[in-house]
Amino acid sequence: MTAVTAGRALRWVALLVLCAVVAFPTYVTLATAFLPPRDVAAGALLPDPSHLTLDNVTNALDAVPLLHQYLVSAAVVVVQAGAQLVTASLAAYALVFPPWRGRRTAFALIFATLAVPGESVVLPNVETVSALGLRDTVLAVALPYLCVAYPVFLLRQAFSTFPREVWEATRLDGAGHLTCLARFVVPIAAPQLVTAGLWSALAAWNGYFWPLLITDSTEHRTVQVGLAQLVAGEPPTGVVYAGTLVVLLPTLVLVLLGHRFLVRGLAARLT
Amino acid sequence: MLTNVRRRLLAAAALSLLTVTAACGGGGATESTPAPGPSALTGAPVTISFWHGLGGAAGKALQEEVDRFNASNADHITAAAVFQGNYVDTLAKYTAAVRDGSTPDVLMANDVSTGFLHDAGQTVPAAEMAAANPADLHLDDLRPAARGYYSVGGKLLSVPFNTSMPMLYVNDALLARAGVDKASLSTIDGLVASARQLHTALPDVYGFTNPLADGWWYEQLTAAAGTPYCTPDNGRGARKVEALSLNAPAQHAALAAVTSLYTDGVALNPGGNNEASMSAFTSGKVAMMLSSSGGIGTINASGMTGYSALPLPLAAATGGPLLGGASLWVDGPGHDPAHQLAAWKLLTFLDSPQAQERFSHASGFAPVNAKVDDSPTQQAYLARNPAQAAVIDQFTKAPANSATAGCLSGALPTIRAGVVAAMDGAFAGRTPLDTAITQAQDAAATAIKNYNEQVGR
Repeated sequence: MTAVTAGRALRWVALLVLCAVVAFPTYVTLATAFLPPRDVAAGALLPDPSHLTLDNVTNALDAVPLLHQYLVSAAVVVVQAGAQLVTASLAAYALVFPPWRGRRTAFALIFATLAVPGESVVLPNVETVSALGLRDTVLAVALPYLCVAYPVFLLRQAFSTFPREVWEATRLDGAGHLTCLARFVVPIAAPQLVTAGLWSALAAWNGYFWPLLITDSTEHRTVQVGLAQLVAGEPPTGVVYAGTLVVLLPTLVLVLLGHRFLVRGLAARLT
Repeated sequence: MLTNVRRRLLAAAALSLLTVTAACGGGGATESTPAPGPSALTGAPVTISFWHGLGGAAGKALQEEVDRFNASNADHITAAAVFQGNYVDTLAKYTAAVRDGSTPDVLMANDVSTGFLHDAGQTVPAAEMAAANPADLHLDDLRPAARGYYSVGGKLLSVPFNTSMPMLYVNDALLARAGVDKASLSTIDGLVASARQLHTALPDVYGFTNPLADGWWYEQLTAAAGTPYCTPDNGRGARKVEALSLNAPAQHAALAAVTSLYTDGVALNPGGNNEASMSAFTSGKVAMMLSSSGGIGTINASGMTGYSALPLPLAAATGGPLLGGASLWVDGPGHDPAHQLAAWKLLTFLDSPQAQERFSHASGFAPVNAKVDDSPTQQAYLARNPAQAAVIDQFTKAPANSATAGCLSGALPTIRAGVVAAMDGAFAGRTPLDTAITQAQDAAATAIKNYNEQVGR
């Protein structure tokens, strides 16, 4: 009995330590963002509530048009993650249900692109997108990432669990492929679609190097590039932390709201 | 980690760019077309693009100067300044732009990129622009040390803009308690002896620290000894850099003396975290710190008072400090004479005494234009800011020779990484200094050989 209690206590302590380690950087970001620089330099990690200030946030928003770039980032997330869900659903459906020669090879090829470092295709992409006349547009930021392998992989695994007999029955009833996908497959795979959507949205929100390369004007830039502008050449002051917090906020909200799906998606990959 | 990936990408992109330019016969800084003269601007409106890597307060101050230029110039020139990421990102974007012919009219590039941009041959040398336009920027007004850093064979390649200097920051109270005289800190030997004296008198306090993860400091100790970092002659003459040299007697002695401070526990080793040096100094845990003049703003923001900024201690009479910062390049290929001249007008404005004074006060960088020293507002500013006055005093007196000009090679960023990695072992006491030096020199030899082969030399 005591052994069980001790084991439970140990598990709780371990969990608390882990939480503290993971949460500490976020806490420091939060505290530094809302404190005057002198308090931070003095190492006051337990903030004096009477010193709390919004100055750092105001200065960050004043230095770089982060709010406008927020909208650009939101647009990129909607276009990029939306397109990835559509293309991945179509691809995963084609890879799982209709029998056709070479679909295993096709999947292997798609899967292999995961091994190609994104940076190695950046320069050819710059040339292609520039040649299309799309340089320095919001569309250009999303263009090379409208279809990527990871959501395809995730949804293929999810669709594989769909009973094949049901699919065959709906086909025999005269349903077209798109109807099958939209009416029968997608509703059942909704949790994995949310997982894939979260993954795509986070990747789109966190993009930095490509948006920097392909945009030239401040107003077509994403919020991560704006944050880099706040940071470049500066020691990590309260203003930098305030900007970090502003940029981090949607990610935190997404993860907090969607963590159930993220965990489920990860677990689903293991089966 | 991302930064490392981007660095590798940049290296790959840079090499492919060099291959492209070499294949087109465009290697080297010599341009076939002459620099445009005053007649290139006809009064028609011209818009020029300007890529830079300054964020934060300095970026804001730069934008304000560009706005002033746009409001004031009589030639109907509009400059569009855009932040393109930090210096590494900006250069990566620039190399991508060379490939698809979309380079900006003006590029800001940091000190270590000078060798690469020289070899890339995409720019018009500043000396030629100045010679063709005697009514604009007078290069003689710029401080000799700044011109030296961005020159090869006596010819200025780019216009220095924002510069910083190495400074020795000392905690006045701690020095007084340990009985250290500031006058003894003008030499490396004096610095080392004082650091030991401090640590002996005040065992809770480290005598010295510097940001070891930054390759700039090994170059500073070398320049302080008056010896070239790269041979022959730091690549400033007719011949390209062939090797890294860390074994000249005065240079080796300086490196050994500073290393001994770390291995004896007298100096605080900040590891890979340069911020740790700074916070240890501002909190009084370290009595002396070598750091960039850009650190003055950070020290003041921390609320620390009672410190002095002293010039870099030297190890030879011919030695001096090496500057850091960035310069402005006028792009040639793909840019018509009107745009090239418009770019030069912008540079003339940005390096004018008035713009340099305002930018310096807002950003903390030292003004490159010596005429700023005559301004009454500048003199009043320096009277209020003794640390900044010490920076400018050192900048003015800095000797301009090939040793203090630093190593001019496109391989310099790679050389730096190798030196930091090797010397880290020496400072931590894991590797004997001479082994670390051999490792650094070997790594540099490979980097230089690979680079020179890519450039086709």
